[in-house]
Amino acid sequence: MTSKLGTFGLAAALAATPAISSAGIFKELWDSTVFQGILRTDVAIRTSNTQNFYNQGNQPYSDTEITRQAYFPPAFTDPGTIVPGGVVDPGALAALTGAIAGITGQDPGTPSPGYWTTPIPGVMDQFRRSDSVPRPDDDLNYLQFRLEGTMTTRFTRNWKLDVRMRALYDPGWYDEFETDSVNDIAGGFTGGQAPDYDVNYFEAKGRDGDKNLNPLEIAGEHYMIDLPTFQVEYKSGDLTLRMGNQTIAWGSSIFFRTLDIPNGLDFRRHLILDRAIEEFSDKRVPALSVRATYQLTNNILGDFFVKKFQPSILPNPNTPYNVIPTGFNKPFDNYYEGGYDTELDAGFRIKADYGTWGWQAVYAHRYNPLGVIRWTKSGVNKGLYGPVGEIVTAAYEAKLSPSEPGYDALCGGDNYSPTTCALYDTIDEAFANAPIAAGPTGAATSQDWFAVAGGVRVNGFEALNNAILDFPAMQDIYGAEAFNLEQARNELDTFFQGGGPMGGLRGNIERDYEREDVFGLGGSYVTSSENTWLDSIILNLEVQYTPDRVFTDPGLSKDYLTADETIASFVAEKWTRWSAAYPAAYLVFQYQYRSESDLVGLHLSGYSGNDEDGSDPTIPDGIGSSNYFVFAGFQPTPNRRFVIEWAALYDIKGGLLIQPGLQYNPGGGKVVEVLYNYVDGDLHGEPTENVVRRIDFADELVFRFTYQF
Amino acid sequence: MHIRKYDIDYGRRKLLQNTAMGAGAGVLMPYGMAMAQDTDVQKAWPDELWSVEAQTKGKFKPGDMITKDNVEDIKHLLDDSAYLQIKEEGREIRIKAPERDISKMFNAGYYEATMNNLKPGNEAKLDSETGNVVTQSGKPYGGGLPFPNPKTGQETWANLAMSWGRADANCYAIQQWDFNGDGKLEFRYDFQWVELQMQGRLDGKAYPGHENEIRRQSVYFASSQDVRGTAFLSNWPYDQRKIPELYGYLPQFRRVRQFPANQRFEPLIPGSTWFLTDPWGAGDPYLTWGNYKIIERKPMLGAWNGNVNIDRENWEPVEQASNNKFWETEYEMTPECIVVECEPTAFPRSPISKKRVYVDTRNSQVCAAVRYDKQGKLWANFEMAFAQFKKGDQMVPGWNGKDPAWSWTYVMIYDHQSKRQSRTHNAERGTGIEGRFAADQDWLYETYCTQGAIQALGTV
Repeated sequence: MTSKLGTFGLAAALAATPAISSAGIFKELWDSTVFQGILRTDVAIRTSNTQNFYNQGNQPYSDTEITRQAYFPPAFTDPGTIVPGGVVDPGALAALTGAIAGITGQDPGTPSPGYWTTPIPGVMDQFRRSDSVPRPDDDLNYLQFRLEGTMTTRFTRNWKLDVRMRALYDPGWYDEFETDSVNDIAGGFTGGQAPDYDVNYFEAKGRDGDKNLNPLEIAGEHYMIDLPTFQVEYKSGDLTLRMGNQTIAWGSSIFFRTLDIPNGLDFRRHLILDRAIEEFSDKRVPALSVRATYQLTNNILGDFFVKKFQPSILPNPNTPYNVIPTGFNKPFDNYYEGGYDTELDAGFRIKADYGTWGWQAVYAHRYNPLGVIRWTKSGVNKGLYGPVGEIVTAAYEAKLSPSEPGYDALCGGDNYSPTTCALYDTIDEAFANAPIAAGPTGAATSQDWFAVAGGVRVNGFEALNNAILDFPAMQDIYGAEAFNLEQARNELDTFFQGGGPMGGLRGNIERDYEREDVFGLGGSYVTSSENTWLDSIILNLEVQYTPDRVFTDPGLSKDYLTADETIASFVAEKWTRWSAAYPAAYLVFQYQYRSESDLVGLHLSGYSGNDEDGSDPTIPDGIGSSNYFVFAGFQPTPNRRFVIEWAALYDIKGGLLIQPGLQYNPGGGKVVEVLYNYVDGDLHGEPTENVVRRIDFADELVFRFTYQF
Repeated sequence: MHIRKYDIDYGRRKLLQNTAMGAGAGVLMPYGMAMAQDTDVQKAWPDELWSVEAQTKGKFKPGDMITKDNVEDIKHLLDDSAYLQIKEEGREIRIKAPERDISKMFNAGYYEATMNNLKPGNEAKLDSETGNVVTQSGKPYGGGLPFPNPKTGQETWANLAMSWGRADANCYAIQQWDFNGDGKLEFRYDFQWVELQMQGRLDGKAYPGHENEIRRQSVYFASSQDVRGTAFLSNWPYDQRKIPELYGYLPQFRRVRQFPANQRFEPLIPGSTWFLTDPWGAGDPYLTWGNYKIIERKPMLGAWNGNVNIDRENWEPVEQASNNKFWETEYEMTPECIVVECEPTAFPRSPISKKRVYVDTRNSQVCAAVRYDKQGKLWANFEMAFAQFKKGDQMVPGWNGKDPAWSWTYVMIYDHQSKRQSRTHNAERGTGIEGRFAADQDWLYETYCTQGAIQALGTV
């Protein structure tokens, strides 16, 4: 149904504008304008014991008490391995041992050599995350209300305006993480991108926290309003020109984005767990674009675009489908600071159809919207807490600081030694220049470090070393490269005690974007056979090749990974009737091969690390390629009153996501949908070798109620 | 005035005889000859075949209403579906006097092209090898009815299929209401249906660059909100043995994708009772169906001509007060209706066992196109009504902007098994769409009939 209600504001505005105040023009515009809209409620009910293990309270080892033993840093045991010819500075050592004695009541003496293997006597504690952050027990994974309206105004036969507005509200009726409950631990939350640390369901801003990544969006903690479409269209002859905020969809694969490269994805809201059949229609990130579509010949369609670069948007920390462990602060997004907001993407697609066969070719010169992530400075002037904090601070203060006389002479050039020379005047300042900082709810034990790292396909061992080697401030506060897992574990447990008895260290990462040239080719063929099972199958093969694609290094190094990537997908679609009584069922079978990355774009070298158990750390050695199968379809009942749907994603490394669903069309503008997300990331093989494991908390029953007006 | 030379049943007996012999239409003289001589073709049939009074022994006359209380007395002049709708659902149909000027039963340009072919004897033929409609010299046939006096079921169907809307270009704004079995309105849609002839055109020339196609046809759903922006494009080869290519823009995919061509038996939208195979009684290429046979030729009532509502708001017919599933409709007599059956031989998994269409010989146009399920049970009737768009001093210009438009006025698709009804009418406008009988053809092509076009129409 079409509604003209609610448009009096527009009417008044037009009437008040002298240039178009003529009643005739107004009436013409009014008559040529169409308004439509929906109200929708989405609710997902949790059906598994597991909850999002990237959020506070659900992280591995949350309920386990773990002993953290502190170790002497190599600067006091093996200085020569850190700085050639390095020796222990007696003053610094005295400060260190003095502090230890003050805390433990016993003189530790001169530590014996042992690279991250010499325990500090008496400096250990027990940590259990649930002591400070109780495990939540949510009934709901997701509840959002949506109002969506579209307006089309046709000015002339050639010109029209399309507007789509989307408004969402999430009341936050979950067992939310309360930041106030831990703000007395390790100085509370500091640093990171967010101005505050309350759960924020929608806001996606640049590093400075001022501007939204999406310029045509208004958002708050619980709501967002945006304009996925705001475009003027000019159509003349075979040319269609669209200018404004819009999305562009390419390719023949469904769900697999082999050639669907113009837009990034917005993973806020329901991640990738909405109705599979809707694909990414609600998820492509709109961008200010100029798109020209031209029917080059009767059979060939050309499609060209130039658009403002817009990145993919990731869920915020502690929101239901967050994918970045909350031991990290929300990543600093350098979209504005890096000047990416002024960059353009451009591309074209040529698509030809000749009845039973066709081909397509695409090219895009673009920024990869997923971006790349690495360690970055915390910017937090905050030192350490607890016994380790006191010990390290005492040792650091014994060092010669840059503002002290003689620093240049004693610490300049080859004279620098991490045991005698500080890079900063205070340890607080040093931590501001390091990628980690003390805080509540960060990484707190080496076990959870490796378990969480493996879960998000990060190499926990390399991530530790890169944090140290890429940031002199880390070495300045006695960080030293680990050469084996034992050293890494000991170093981590030592540092984590610096967050105090109830705290840990929070990581800081930043997101940048890299340009790439994407080439693609595709071919299609429709079968013809006397055998009805083999007849009328639509086959599509699509291949994407991207030379020198830049990936996040699994060790979060400042040096990103670069590799040539090939992505190929094969699609077979068929409509078939099982019986005379029911309309044809739609069946689609798909396969995708990716040479370098997983389904969401993470490099495969971070695969095969630790799963939930980090007590026996493993260093990921990656997997050679990722391979996914999809079998999906739907079966309408007569008159399409009901549509039975299903979709299954199988990762050959042992992950399975199955989504059966039912759509009910009772009429009267109402639609009811129910679906179930069944996720199993441990079907066979190593769990950290498949992509599904990452969302292996999302078994849920989803209801969606829509009213159209 | 005609002198009654024969007894009252002579006409019916002769029609039976003609059917058995495989002869063409006409009782007193071949219909083609009568058509070529005059627009008033009544001399081809005796008066009693035009007369509802004669055919009902005086029980009905023009102006009377057929109701469930009297339908048994006129059942023999109705198709099975209409009879059951009246009997079981209480549908009511008013009888009107038959039209005898056949020029009012065609699009003017199409009538002219038909006559231009008929008078010098330039009828089409079915190619002996392919079965396609060709000229006597074997070339693609130009505009006008290829077989003004069809003698076989296949010729009858070819007349329906070669030019659906009897014009080079048609752009309909269609409004549809879908009712459940209890008569409750469940769904409401507006959509645009566009037909652009590539061959079989009034000037006899192919649309440039499309010599191998008979037409392009697209459907664009403008409302309701959930289907708005859905569009399908069918490219019909001239060769009627080939199933049209089908491309679709679905809002959830935001791009044009190819669809298998054999999807002709599925409801496109929730609640709808019609499939792509249904429109015009011949929604598929006629050589993809087979086993054609003429069941009978007989006088019949049908919505062959009338039901003009151009004096009403948006040309919307009046709802039947006693049962809103139905429009108020009027039927008139045709002296000779050809009843043809055929089977979907190219669609082995079709849910349809056969179709039976009731075609008025006067203009080779269909009123009832009834499909039967695999068990042979009556399934649904795609009932079309036609008229010249002229009423009193009101007139809607047609193809050339001067002559009155001639087109369909309503379609009702009644599902006998579920009692559901999709009720539509040819509207002046719908949600953001408008009907056009005299649209610029190049504009129609660029706006509706290419992949780029349906991409542009799609939801954004």
